[in-house]
Amino acid sequence: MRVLIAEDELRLAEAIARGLRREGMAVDLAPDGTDALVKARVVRYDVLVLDRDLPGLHGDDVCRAVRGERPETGILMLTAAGALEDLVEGLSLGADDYLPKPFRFAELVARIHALARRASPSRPPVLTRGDIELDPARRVVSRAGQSIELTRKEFGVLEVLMDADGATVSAEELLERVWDEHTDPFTNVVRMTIMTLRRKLGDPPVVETVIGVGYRMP
Amino acid sequence: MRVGPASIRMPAPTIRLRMTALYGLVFLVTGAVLLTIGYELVHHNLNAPSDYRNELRKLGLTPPFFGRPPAFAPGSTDARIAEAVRAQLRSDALHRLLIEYVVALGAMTIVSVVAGWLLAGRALRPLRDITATARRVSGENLGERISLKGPADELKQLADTFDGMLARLDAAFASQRHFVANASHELRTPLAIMRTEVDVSLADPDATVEELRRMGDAVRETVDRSERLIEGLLMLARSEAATGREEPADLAALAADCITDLRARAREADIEVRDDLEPAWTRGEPALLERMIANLVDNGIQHNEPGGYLRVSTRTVGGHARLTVANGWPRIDAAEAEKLTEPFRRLDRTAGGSGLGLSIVRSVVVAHGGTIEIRAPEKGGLDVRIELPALPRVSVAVVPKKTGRALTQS
Repeated sequence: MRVLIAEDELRLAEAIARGLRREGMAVDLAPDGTDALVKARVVRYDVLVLDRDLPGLHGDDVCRAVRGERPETGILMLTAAGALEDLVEGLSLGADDYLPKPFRFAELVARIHALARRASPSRPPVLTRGDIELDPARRVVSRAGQSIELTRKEFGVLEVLMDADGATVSAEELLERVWDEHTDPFTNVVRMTIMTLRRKLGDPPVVETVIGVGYRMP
Repeated sequence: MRVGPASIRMPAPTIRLRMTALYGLVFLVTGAVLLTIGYELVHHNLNAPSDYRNELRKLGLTPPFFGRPPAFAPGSTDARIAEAVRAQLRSDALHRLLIEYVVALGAMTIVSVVAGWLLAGRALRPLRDITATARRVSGENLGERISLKGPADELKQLADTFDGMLARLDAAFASQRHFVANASHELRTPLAIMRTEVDVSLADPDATVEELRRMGDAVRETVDRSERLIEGLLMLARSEAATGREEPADLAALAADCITDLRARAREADIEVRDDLEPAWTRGEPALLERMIANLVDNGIQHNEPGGYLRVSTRTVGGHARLTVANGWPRIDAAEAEKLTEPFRRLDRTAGGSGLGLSIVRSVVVAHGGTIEIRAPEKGGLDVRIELPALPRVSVAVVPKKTGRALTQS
């Protein structure tokens, strides 16, 4: 899952990013509104965590623009103004959710998961494919009842592949959705991760390579 | 609305009712006086000797005399009868007149009371509008205005004054709301940072001592920031309500102390401090004046560049104690400079200030009856000039002129 955090308080942004990365999300940071909008236009984020009082372009404007151009991106507004009218106003601008500061981090994570699920309405809370089960919220994977230890990236790749419901996912898309902006686009991390993922999932193999196109789970 | 016994109580003595009663009373009294005069005149005239020739002519009779009508011989029976007839006629006429006058007076009083009620209502209608507006207006709803139409009379003046007051209240409330929203944002942000740092670090079961230590540092830094902010807020509140002891204070001496305190920091930041301090006596709360100067000097050092300068000067000019603090800030937009005294307005959000420094300065200046002028010169930097009411010359003569000299050497 790929998340953009638009927050001008660098310390807060970094703390959130650290926490979300540990939850297996690919996190990018944007220190101001203009940067946030540019990034949201270029990359398909699952969730945008948006501070309302952003310098440059105001959070409200970012929210409106992203809502218009990227309907699939869930927007979670984060703001220090916790009054009811602020909440109503924030939601009416097109935000999907609203969390006043200070917030409990676990709540933020839960809401981000909920938003990501909302983006693909048919998606159940626990993904299943054959005998493999994946629970994104609790971050556990099991095959035939046997739980499997996966790294964050392996988990992310598996999640995207299972979510694709049998369709082929290109390496570029995996890179965009699982890795953050600091990853070299010409790297072979995707291939390496698929390799280790296959090994951990064991036999019979479930991830197929579609030569020249990408990967899929039939 | 109450019903039952309460509704048949005497109506409240409203102005309308009183005006109506007054109208009625004035009419009654004037009418009564007028009618009494009329009655007396009639009474008087009826007793005057009369000439009845015209009446005889109307009856087709030629008066058989010239000049005064012949009278009956005084004391004769005829004379007594004539006198009795005349007296009866007079008394009948006066009696009828009295009854008619009383009836007419009563009827006209009723008419005048009704007319008075209507007129008073009409005259007081603008007042009712004003009352209704005042009743509707509350803290959340200060946008209402009476906007009374009509001639510029007393009521229009009242309504306009009221509108003006509402506009001022509206502005004050808006600025208050703005301040509270900003303060809430500023107070919650450090809380959010601390909470997230702690949550994220504690949620990691494999967190190393190193990581926990880093979290502790981050939290402490954020606590420092909150402390500065709260201290700033308290100082701002105190300066706005400056009612503390006022005593003569020399801006030059206060500035010299302040520069001495901050000189080490200035040297560290490679900023040259130039001072030109002449006695500038004013009256005020020394602690607040000191804070005012300290904030300005601190700002001048904080928002500066290595190799830059900070110039502090004090003077007594034409009844004002003047303090000027100028520095070589980077270039600032002139419009931006004017807004710097607004709470939480910062040029650089990452600089770590509370955003209250110049607000406190302005608040202290205003509380001491002075003026503040902030300019951003073309060449860059920021000039702050503060003028406070000076103490009379007598006191100024007492001042030893030493502070400035000693400091310019270092």
